[in-house]
Amino acid sequence: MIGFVLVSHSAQLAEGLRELAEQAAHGSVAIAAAGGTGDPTNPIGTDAYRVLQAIEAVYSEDGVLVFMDLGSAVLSAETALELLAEDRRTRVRLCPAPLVEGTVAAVSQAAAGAGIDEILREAANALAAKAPQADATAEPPGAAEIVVAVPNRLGLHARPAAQLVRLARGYRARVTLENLTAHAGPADAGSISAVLGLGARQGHRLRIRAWGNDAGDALAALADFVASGCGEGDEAPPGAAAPSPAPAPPLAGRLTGIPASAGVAIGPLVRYRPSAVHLSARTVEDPEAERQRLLAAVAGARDETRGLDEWSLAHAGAGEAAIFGAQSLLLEDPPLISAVSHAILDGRVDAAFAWQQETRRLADRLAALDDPYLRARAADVTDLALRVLRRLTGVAGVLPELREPSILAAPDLAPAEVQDLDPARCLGLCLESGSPLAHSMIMARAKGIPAVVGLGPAISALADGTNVAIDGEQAAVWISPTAAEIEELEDRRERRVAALRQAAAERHRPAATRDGRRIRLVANISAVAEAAEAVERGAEGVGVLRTEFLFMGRANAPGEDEQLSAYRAIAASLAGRPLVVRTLDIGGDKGLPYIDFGAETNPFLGWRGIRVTLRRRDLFRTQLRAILRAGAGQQIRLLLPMITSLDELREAKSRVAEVEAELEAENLPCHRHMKIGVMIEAPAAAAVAEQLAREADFMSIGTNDLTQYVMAADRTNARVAALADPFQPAVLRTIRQVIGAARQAGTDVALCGELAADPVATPLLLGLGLEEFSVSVPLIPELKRAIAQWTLPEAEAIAGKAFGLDSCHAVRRLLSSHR
Amino acid sequence: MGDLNVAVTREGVLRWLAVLAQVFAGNREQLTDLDRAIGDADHGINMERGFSAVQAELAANPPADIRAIFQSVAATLIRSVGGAAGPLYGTFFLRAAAACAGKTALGAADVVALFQAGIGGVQQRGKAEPGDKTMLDALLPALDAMRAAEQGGSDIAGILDRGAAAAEAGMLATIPMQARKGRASYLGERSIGHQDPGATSSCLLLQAAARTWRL
Ligand SMILES: Nc1ncnc2c1ncn2[C@@H]1O[C@H](COP(=O)(O)OP(=O)(O)O)[C@@H](O)[C@H]1O
Ligand SMILES: [Mg+2]
Repeated sequence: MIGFVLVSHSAQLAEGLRELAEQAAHGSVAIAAAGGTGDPTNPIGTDAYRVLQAIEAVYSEDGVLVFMDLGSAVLSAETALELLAEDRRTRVRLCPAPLVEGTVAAVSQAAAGAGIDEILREAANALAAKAPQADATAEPPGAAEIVVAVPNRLGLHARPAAQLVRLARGYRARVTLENLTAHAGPADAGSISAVLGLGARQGHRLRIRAWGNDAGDALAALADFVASGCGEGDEAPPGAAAPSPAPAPPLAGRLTGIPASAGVAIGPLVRYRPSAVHLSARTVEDPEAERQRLLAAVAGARDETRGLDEWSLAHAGAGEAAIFGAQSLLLEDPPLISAVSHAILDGRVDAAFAWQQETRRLADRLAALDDPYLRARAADVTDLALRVLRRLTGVAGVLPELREPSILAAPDLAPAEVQDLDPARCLGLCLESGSPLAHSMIMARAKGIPAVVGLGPAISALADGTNVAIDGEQAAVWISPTAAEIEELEDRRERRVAALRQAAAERHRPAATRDGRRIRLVANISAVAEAAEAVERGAEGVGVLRTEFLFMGRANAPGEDEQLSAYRAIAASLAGRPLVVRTLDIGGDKGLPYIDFGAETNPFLGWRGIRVTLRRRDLFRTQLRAILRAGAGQQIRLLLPMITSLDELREAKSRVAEVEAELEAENLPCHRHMKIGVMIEAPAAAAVAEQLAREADFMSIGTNDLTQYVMAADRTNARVAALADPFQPAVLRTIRQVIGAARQAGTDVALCGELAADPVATPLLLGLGLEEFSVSVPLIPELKRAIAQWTLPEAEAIAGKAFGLDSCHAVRRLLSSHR
Repeated sequence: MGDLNVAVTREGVLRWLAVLAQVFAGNREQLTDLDRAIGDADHGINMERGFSAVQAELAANPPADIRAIFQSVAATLIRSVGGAAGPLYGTFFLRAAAACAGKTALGAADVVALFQAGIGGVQQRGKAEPGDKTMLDALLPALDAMRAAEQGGSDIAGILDRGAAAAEAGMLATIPMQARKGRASYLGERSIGHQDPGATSSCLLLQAAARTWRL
């Protein structure tokens, strides 16, 4: 007999609720009230021992559910659990449902014989019953039904199934499908996994049943739709001959994608399909937060899949698109999502593990069907599962070992995967999806690996070893190029390499315009080893040391000593050149296992950068101590990310002052009165740049984030990525305003985003009066040459013209015409 | 650790608890007033009731050693405080008890370990973070300071002085914060400008230790 414990601050409320619940229980469950403190002079409150007693009173092996009202009721219930004998503890669940509705719903379910998991689910949904137009939850008798035969040659495979599910979801009625021929189902018609699981083949008879508001309409529409072949008509579905949805591989010719990293490469193709690592379960403290993480990852993967969907619609036949369409439906599949949610909430396991378990189960189920086309859907599920998993774990797959210099083809790559690529072996990258603005492609450019993205699934259909050539600038991929094509491409590559070599030879000449204006050219780095490389390539110092590398991929934050030695090593490599250290910039798309970000529906507008470090004082203090200590006798400055107001700058400054005082008190050598700068990444910071300029010692404009925030466009969302263009007049005006404010105040200003490194933008930025460029290490020589091409008056004239233009295309055209 | 001049004994622990009963009786109005501004005007009453019940229980059933004392304190607080402070301080002493297992006297490292375990318990139970305007805003800085002092070789008095000073600073720092945990969080921005009652009681707890364990 399942036991119930009702905890409230008020003894009367708990007792009253017990009475109410008994009515629904029909004596089949044990209910105990644990309300109030039991102290007549201060009756309102909760008492963990009363909760403990109540649990003991109703305890049985079947388990106990505890319902609570607010705040300290939860604390007391948790404390009671701690006081409970260990073997009993695992059978007691604290239920986060609303006290009254949740209790009544749960007791009713228990009385009807439901198991604990089902009870918890119903309790969690208890508030829905109050929603004004809630559908009947029980199946009323006498539902309407129709039986139809499946006419489709290949049965209800992904495309027709997806169409059917979409149609069913358009109705409020509850619709189920049952395969009378194969004795499968009934399945929820709103669930793609359930519908695919019916294994419906040509000629199978389906029973469609519907309940609720518009049941009649739903039934008629769905029956018609199935009978007419689910919108498939007579044409053979794509890949009808083979169970694989991939298009027939082109044997020769050219594919065009989106340019992502310049350069030419020729070599054999090696395909990379990331495969899942085996995960073991991890216990989580806060399962609800974990569930939110799951939902966020699923939503992210869904948006990505939809982006592919649209791309395919535009570039291929609708057949391809429907495959992705079915995939994105799987990502909203209610039974799948709720199975994973319950695994997390009930088992207190991490989202990645629960997701992997459930998706494996689904893939196995599909793989066991005796229809080859449906069996192939198991691969879709695996593919999708991986996409979500990679978001959840941030862990990259294991790249294939490239035995000879090759060109890598993959669905997409994570930054960590690109990080691992050796440019000597990986000559170029061809991605099915991806975005030129994704972090992984920023890294490809930094490493000098040519890349084309957005090539669609065709690229993966090529056989390993196929000879291909890519030109990153033209966004073109040649399949089995002809001798003439190869010759021309080789030629282009050599010209480019020669230009780069010349630039490298001139590296130690300081950067200056043609008419002699000195420009500071510094490096963005995110590894200790990059500091030496920066000097080697002619950087005058480091403009941004991204310290995240010290914090990522580990279970605990790095300690003071570890950070100190990293900062010292970098400063030593720079041999007296200036070093700007940016404090931890985490949040947005980057999480850390030891920082609880809670559930954020909008992480880019959430807890990130300075917002995190000002609240996680422990982390901030340790990092500041290490930076200040490393700064002793060195030219080190401090840079604060994601500043949006003067208050944050002031607060951060006072933390720095505290740390400095602390170090002095401890007699530890440190950099006193360290210069403190702010990143200008949010429009808010740009708007108050003139105020910030007065209190900050320097400013650094981060154009990547600034562009996204100004344009309100996520560059990883394929549908709006084009808006996130730094040449948009809105972005350029924002940059102009910041540079102007800085010059007015006599504050140094640098630009450290992608835009700084783009030679197309160089005259524009010089013309605005920018005197410091901070770019990734490999781009330094090229940028130095770009700077030397211009005189200031020329640059100013171009900038003047650019600001007269009203679209990013016009600006780009103008700048290209001057190259 | 056997040297009574540098260690807190069972008697020292009992003295601290006796002082706490007086302190919370004396600050009952202040704590209740603070809780009136952003809560339900019971924190002072809760704390006084809890710690006077602790005195009664210790007198009725004197525990044998330090661990047993803290266990008894935890049970009494959980049973008698009523508000959120009950399970929170209860858990503090529950964990403190575990940290003192087998000890007949507490040296400098043991005192720090006691607070570390107890404060860890409060954090785990309440899931508050620094800046949420709770007792943790006094407790965590205190713990940091005590750890640093211990590492720097301070004696117990020095450690507790640093801890109490940091707790006081932490308590004052709750004034401009917006509450994100506990009842006060229902007030949203209107919780700004008031000192957190729980941070205040935590500060009193540390100050009492610093005064009593001046060996
Ligand atoms: N989740 C929590 N974590 C840490 N401290 C908390 C938490 N919730 C409340 N507090 C502390 O408890 C204090 C209030 O205690 P009290 O008045 O006894 O409880 P209640 O709010 O139930 O009336 C608050 O001032 C705050 O410092
Ligand atoms: Mg209160």
